Amino acid sequence: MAQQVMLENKKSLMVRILPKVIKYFFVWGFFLINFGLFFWILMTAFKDNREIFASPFGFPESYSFENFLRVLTEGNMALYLWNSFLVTMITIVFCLTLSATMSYVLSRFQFKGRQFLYILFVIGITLPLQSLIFPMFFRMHELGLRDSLLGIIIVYTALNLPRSVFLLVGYMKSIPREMEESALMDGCNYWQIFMKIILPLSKPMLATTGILIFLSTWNEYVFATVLLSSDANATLPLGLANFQTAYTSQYGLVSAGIIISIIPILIVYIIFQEQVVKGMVSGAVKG
Amino acid sequence: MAQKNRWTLVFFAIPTLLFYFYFFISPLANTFYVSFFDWDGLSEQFFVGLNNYIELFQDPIFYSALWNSFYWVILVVLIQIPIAFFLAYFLYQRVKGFRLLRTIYFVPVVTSSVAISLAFSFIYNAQFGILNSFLNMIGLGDLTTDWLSNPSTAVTAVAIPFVWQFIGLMMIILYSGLQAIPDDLIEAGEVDGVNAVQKIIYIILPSMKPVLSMCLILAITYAFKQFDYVLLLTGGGPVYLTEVSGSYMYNQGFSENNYGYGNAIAVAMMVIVVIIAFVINKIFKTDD
Repeated sequence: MAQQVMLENKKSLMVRILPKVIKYFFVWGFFLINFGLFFWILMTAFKDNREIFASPFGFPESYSFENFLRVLTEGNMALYLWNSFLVTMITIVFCLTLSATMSYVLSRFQFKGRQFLYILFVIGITLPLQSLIFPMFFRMHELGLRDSLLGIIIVYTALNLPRSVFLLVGYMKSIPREMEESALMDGCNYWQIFMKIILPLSKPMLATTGILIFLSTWNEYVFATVLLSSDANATLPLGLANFQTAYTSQYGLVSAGIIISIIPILIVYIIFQEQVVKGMVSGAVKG
Repeated sequence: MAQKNRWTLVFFAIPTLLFYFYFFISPLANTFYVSFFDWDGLSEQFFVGLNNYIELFQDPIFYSALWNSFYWVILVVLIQIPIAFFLAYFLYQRVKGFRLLRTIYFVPVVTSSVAISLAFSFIYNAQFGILNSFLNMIGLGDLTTDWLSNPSTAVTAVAIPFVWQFIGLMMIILYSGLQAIPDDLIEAGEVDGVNAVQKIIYIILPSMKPVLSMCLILAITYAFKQFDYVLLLTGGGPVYLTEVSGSYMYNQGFSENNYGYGNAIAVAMMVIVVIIAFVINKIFKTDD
């Protein structure tokens, strides 16, 4: 009898504890994989090749920032950072301006061909955009913008337009029209309505769209490697890839490059975490 | 509408329309157009009708590239979505350190494919990579290999960074799906005395069907769009083995100067993605 009770107790203990053990093991296990990988790269960035081969997983003998400094100066990483910053910021402003004005027209006015225009924009969301890489390349070549920041800004703006218009039209349609109607009565024109009512009310979706443009532009590699051939114009991902080709077997240096390239986006991500997560999800789900 | 206002609207729409037609729609049309030509990018274009497509349908490398894209999808379905689901499920049950966990899970999603590729080239590195060192450590030294050039491991090795990178995104999507399940549904199950496994199979998963099919569409479109890892880690080699449809298109154009053929691959990719998205949407709609 007593034995029976003990067995029961033991079983219920197992039933209670085991799921928790599995849960924590799983959840923190994946945490460790992610964290460990980045931490390993960080530690490698403090080492030279001799140390890397002698103890690939050990802590560095000393924490000197020599690799990081070399990456920023010799490796031009400071320049790539600046290029990426310029390209991303201008693309965001450019793309938001073009898509907000278009979305205002598409969401507020009835005219012939409206639905057709809307579909022309939405089509671009499903397509694998890399399919446009050859004609984009030759178009930029024709215009003499192939190896220029302006050229890549135009390309990124075009690639981000369909999703931005789609998200903004959907959002603007949900804004009630009463305010605009009374503003119209008061003699405001459409430009004033757009600037004073539509844009301020669309702020949350403009922020989401802006973040999506930021992420896709900041990390883009394929179009950058095709269009930007000179080192002076390289964006961060492209610069990092070129840097790796130039310093192939200097693993410490390349690690420092990886870390430096990650830091800016990590800061943005940590500051705007909620918006980034929400933006990525709504972009993935609706796009 | 007053005449003046009509012009305001034209003023609003025209810049975007011009831009979009010149830099998006026209290149899109050009992709179709050039796919009917033989062109090296420099000399004159030769009209060849459907020849590029006929060649494409007989090209074993194209089929293997296409198969690799599907293989990526399979890996996502078998590895990425299940891991993401359990992470989401455990977080949903409240775990200490929720915010920290979620933050770290999501970091790879916002990291560039180049940085991740370089990190994985270190993992796979024959001399000091984690993978070989780990295998040696646990006594499985026989399994060590040069992961990215060994034909039997290269295809999977190239896909793993992609599978890993988006676990965090899938996790968040599934997490929001879990939160949308009404509490009384789960409570009713608990009253009926179902165990943890039954709860997942009979209550949680069925009520997440729409979210799960969304994840599937996402997996397929991402797998067809993403070829950074192939370009960065193997360049499609050894001997075209790791080529996916996107990288094969890229290499046909920019490495072999075969732009007509490259555009034919681009068109094929677009058609395939649109058809798949359409079919899954259909299934998803009737289910709902």
